[in-house]
Amino acid sequence: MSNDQLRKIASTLLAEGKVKYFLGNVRGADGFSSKPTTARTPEEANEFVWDPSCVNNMASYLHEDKKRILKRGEEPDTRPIGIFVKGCDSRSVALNIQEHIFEREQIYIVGATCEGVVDVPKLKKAWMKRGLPVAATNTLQLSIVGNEVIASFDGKQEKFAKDDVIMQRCKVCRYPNPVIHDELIGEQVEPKPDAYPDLEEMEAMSPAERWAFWTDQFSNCVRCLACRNVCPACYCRECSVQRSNPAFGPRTTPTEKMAKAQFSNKTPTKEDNFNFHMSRMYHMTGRCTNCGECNRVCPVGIPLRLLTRKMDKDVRETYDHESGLDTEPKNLLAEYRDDDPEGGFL
Amino acid sequence: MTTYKISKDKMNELLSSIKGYDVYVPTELGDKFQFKVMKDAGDAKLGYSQSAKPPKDVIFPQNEVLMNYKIQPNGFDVDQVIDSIGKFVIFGIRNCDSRALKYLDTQMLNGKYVDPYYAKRRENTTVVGLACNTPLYNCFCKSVGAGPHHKEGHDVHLTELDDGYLVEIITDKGKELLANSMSLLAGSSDADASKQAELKQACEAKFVRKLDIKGNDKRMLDIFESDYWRDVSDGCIGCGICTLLCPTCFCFDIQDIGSRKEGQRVRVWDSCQYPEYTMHASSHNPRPGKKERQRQRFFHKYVYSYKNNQMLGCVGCGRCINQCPTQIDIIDVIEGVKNVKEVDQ
Amino acid sequence: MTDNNENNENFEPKIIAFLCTWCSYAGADLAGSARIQYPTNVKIIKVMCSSRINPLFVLRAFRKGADGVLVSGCHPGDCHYLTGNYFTRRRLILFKKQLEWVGIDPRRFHMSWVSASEGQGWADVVNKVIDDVKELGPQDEMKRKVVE
Ligand code: SF4
Ligand code: SF4
Ligand code: SF4
Ligand code: SF4
Ligand code: SF4
Repeated sequence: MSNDQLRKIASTLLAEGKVKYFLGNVRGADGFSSKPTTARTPEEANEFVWDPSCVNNMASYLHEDKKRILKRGEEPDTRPIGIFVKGCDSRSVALNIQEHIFEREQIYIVGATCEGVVDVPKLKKAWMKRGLPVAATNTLQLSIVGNEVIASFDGKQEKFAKDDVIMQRCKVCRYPNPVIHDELIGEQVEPKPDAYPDLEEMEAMSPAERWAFWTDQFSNCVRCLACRNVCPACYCRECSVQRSNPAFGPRTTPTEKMAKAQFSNKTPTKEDNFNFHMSRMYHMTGRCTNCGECNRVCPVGIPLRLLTRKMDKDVRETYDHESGLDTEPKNLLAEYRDDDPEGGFL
Repeated sequence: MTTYKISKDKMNELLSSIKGYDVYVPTELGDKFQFKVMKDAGDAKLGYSQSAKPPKDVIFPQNEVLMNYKIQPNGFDVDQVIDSIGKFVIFGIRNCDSRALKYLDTQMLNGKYVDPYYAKRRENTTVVGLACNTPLYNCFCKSVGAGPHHKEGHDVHLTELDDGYLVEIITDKGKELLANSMSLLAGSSDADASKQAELKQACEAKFVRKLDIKGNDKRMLDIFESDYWRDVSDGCIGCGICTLLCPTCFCFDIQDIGSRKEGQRVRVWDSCQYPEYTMHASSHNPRPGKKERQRQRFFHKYVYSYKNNQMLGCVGCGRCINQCPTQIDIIDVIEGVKNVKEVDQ
Repeated sequence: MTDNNENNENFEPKIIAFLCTWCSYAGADLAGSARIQYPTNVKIIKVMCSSRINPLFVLRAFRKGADGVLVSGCHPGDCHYLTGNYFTRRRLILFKKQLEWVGIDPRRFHMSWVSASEGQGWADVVNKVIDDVKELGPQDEMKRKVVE
């Protein structure tokens, strides 16, 4: 089973001291979900799971290594970080290498080919609806076979249609096989066709309808910034959309004001939220790998994926660029071609 | 207390008959729910499970303007918005959330410094509770002092029966609220009361998750420095969902927004999960990492609150479990302290 | 989006123009010294190069109540810093698409190339921008209600 394979690889790496720690998933308390964790010993790595409940993109946790302040006298540990990735997550790791946040040899990548992961709340709902025993979730095991998600517990099996319970991102996934890896688990998986069915509805709307849709959505945002924190491409130490209120006095110089410029207020009003989301979207342009994590974490269900997918489409159509496909430095907005399109200039 | 009954089809009529208040009702928000000011009685989804955002924001809004100011040629205008605070009803609040309001009272109204904005809103708010008949998977209110059919803190208490709602008017505020709607209410029978008791029992039997809190606070203090807190917070991304959406969390930040000519002073929610929250001016941060920040959350809810107010800072609504993007589970964490081996010296 | 038609007759839009100092600003200067007439609704902010323009500046202008924003730089290939405007081009084209995606009329936000010798060209661009924005009426969507 893939669980055993992952556990074996990770625990061996840790036992041999080849990695300083290993990022992976363990079973969550409620039985359905899995929970991201850091294994520091081989024993901890033997708890790892790899099944369709592993929604978390572990690449988000890489940045902490850079942000941690060393204790006085502490020597930095230069061994690589071990990380478990699915297809989509591997692009996020590649992006971090492209942008020189990490060097290739600083990360030890264990990739797994992926048939898709389940949308846990959806699965939970379906589970409750069928009146299945909740206590059974302690022994729950999920797997995807063909067009079905199979949940086995207590020697019994329950089948759900794959389309009903898997994440939207997996329905359009073009990179189910890790693009970079040091070790690979699983058989190659057929990618989904290159299409944007999820954007069609929105494309058909008039600008006024779109505006109404987005203002309604943005007005719900509680500005928890989960969408930013979870993003594997967001690694700034200080975020341009989250500054504490700077105090300006009569003597504050323009330079100081510049350094403290506030692009977004902390107050979650409709206009500020709009501003926050536009800023975030723009900062992701050409960098977002469409891992879909921001959409998943939003506690009020704002369909952020409609923004990121559109961005992806624009970038690919206009500049034929896709981020995070290999480790070569590549950045859409830090490069140009003489013959880039000119559309829209007066 | 007087008990009445109303049939289900008359509920909308009752809602529309409430005049002079902003009526907050649970409305649909995608596949979640949210309390919003009712525009049309049809918006109200009283069969809801739990709102994504707790209705604490009626009394303690996320974005509360404290004052507007404007500088005039001959002096300046300050508009202390407090006088224009209207009257509110929270219609259909669950007991976990209304108990949380009681907890907020201990913070905002007790002692030497009373928060005038909170006090005014609290006084102007009438709380209409709605008993839970089906707890969600992660609800554990029963383990921490609230309960699906508890009535404390409610001005009016509703219980959904098969053919209608049982309406219990508990306080004078409740009486005042329903004064215009009495014609819609009918008397209730003993059968209804026994049905209510039955529902209560059935609901309490449905709880999946439980938490045994006895002795945990002492135990937690013993292991304050333990690596346990690092391990449980490994997955945390520091988003603050667990605190912003917690019905008992009350931390806030004051923001001045405006120019030198005019502007406003606003109070916005803040969260102990953000690094900026504890950042000193010297840029030293006493809670530098997620271990310390998460530990603070658990300690505040399960140790400090109890010590200061004899009331747990958690009402068991399960939101922080349901909504945490990384499945950090407060029940698990608090239960887990029992199994931690080491003890601080 | 709100089209405020009643006021459109005598609505004087506020346009913020970010101009690079070497071409577009010089072009606007030339228009002035050659006494080419163009409307005064444009408030010019001079920057060293159009690639200095962070799209967040554009958002901030809208937030502070600009009815339209224009960014202008040297023609591709003519940049004083050789390649600056190539970066601007990629950025702003994508940014404009994003504004459109959330329902902001693309006529609120314009980009142009104006060289130091194009006084008349500058006046034409300004007229075009003002016509567009006048048609749309005042901008109210992105504006923060309390001024900063
Ligand atoms: S998007 Fe692709 S790689 Fe990522 S979880 Fe879904 S199927 Fe797997
Ligand atoms: S996760 Fe959702 S609520 Fe939180 S800041 Fe992002 S969009 Fe807003
Ligand atoms: S999909 Fe969201 S979380 Fe993932 S890279 Fe893009 S912006 Fe970041
Ligand atoms: S919601 Fe979860 S991930 Fe977010 S701060 Fe709270 S514990 Fe951390
Ligand atoms: S700590 Fe969690 S379960 Fe407890 S009241 Fe807050 S959100 Fe609800």
